[in-house]
Amino acid sequence: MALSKAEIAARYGTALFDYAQDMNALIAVHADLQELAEAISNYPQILKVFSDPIFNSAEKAHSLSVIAQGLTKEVQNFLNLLLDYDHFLELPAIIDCFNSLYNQKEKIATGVAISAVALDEQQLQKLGAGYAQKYGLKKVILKNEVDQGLIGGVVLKVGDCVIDGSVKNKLNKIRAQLINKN
Amino acid sequence: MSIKAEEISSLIKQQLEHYDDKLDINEVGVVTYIGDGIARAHGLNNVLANELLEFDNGSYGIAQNLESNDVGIIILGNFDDIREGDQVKRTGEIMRVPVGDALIGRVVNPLGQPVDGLGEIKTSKTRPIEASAPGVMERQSVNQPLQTGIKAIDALVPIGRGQRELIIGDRKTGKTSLAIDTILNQKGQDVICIYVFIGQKESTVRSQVETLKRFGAMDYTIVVEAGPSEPAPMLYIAPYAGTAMGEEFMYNGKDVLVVFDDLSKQAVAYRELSLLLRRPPGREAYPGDVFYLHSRLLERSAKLSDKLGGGSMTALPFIQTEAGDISAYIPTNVISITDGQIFLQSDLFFAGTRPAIDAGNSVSRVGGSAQIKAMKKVAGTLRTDLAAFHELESFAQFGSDLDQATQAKLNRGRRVVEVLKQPLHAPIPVEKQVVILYALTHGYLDSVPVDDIAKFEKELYDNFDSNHADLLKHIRETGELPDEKELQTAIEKFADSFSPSNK
Repeated sequence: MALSKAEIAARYGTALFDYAQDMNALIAVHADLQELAEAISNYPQILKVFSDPIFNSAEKAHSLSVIAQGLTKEVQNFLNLLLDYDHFLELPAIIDCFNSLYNQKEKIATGVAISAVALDEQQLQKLGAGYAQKYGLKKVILKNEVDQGLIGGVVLKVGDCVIDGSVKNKLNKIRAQLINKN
Repeated sequence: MSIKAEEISSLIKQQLEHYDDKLDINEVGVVTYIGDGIARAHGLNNVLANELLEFDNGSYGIAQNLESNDVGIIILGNFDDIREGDQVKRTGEIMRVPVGDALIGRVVNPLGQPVDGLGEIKTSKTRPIEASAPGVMERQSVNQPLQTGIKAIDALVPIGRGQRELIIGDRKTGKTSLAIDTILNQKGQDVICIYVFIGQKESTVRSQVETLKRFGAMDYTIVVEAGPSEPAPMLYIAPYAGTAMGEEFMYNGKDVLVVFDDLSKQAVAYRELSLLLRRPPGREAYPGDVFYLHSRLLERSAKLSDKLGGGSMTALPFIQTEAGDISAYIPTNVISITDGQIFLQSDLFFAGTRPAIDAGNSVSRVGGSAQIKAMKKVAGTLRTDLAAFHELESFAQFGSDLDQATQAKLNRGRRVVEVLKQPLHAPIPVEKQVVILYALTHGYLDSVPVDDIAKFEKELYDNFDSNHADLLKHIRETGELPDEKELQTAIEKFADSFSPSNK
């Protein structure tokens, strides 16, 4: 039976993480992978090209070496491995798995702060610091998203956890309470 | 009536003062698959089995499969507008249904919401649909009868309060009518009835509810209904919801009768869910825990100890068989869980023996100790009489040269079968049952033509009602047979005056 995407991601992600750790190149590999992830999200065709059975593997290996030129040795080796085993399509999931392992080790979390008006860098940092303190993390990196429907306040999403401090939610709760009382 | 705007605003102000502002901290997951009444969600790392989850569109779900990468969720209610990528929120609770007196007389869905158009159900009490069954020390043995008003059941397979008696038979053999008649007979008996329709046609449900209303039985009955057009999760939880509603009364010291019509449809709904959740299929494609599905449900019906108020919940689960095959998977499971079964046969049904109870295959494992003494006395030989009759009947078809004793046995047998017949929606109080069965077993019916038995029976009841009410009262109140001489002379006198219809 073919392995599921999640299983492949977990295996390759863990392997890459352990390998990077053994080679003492964790930080460099992490940085490279972020770059790769951004490149993939900008040009999703890359994945298709490298997993397309019509191109032969020599062609693929050649174009990969061109793309991966600036990356560390470890990442280059890993990409070649993925190509050999034909799992290139799972690369984004593998990067996600690697990131979660990395974040776990470094006690870092990433998340989104949704607000009605745009937050500046300082406010985001303050929010992140507050969250990090509450959950015993070193650092929380937040991205800001604007949703005017919230009216006011902030919704914080980090991992599986959602902290809803928006005015919209509060109004909903007040409404529910008023209806229940009557 | 005029309402002042100030009054409203002061009222709202008052309520707002009690509003305490707390941050909502939720654990969420993301829907990765949706369809056929189930969803899979990524995330929700700390979710518990059977926990209630809330979707973005307001629908609720129950976490069923906790796997390494995702959570399998059954959706209760509308899933058309849930999309891949939507959020699922933990609630930290398990599913509950409203319970209490306000539900009596109502028709509700498995979530406890009214479907009878009679408005909101005002109750603040709820109970979890899954609860552990009473333990060993919390029970006592069944000792009180639950009179069904059906002669064949009360005499041959008596049911006690707190018993689980399976009603099993093919389609169209009168299973539903049996339960409806039992409910009709609970009038004035201080028993609260809960009828759970699982996957029954909405038209059937409507007509049965109308029957209950017509006989005034809705005054003490709750109907829980999960129709065939509803998604499988609703059918799956319906009996648990019905049981939760019954438990509320049972733990308050009352007697409850709960009917599951029928559990084979629930098993099919559960099979559907399990296959969609990718649980490995077993025999007949049912999942491995289909036995537990029914055993944990039926164990919750019990007779509680006096310390806990002595309440009881009697369960009448239904199983529909295919071509009389009681050795299929689900029937054997439920037979082994229950305290006996009433087996209905289509052959008997079409031969006119209604209710079509197959006395040979029907048993009650605990009900005998709950039968009243008078009934025990008169019904003692009935089962053997009937068995002997069925044995001889086929044999006797080959020749008419039979000796006197065999003739007598056949003669008696035909009358036993005739007496045990009973029309629809006409339950008979136990004291009258005792009288007719006394007349039967003491040979007073042997000279009455078989065709006139029904007429004899009816006139006998009328006669006793008007002339011997004291005898009936004695049986009803003490549970013992009255002075036999008195009873015999009363029946003899009536039998002498009885004139068979001349055809």
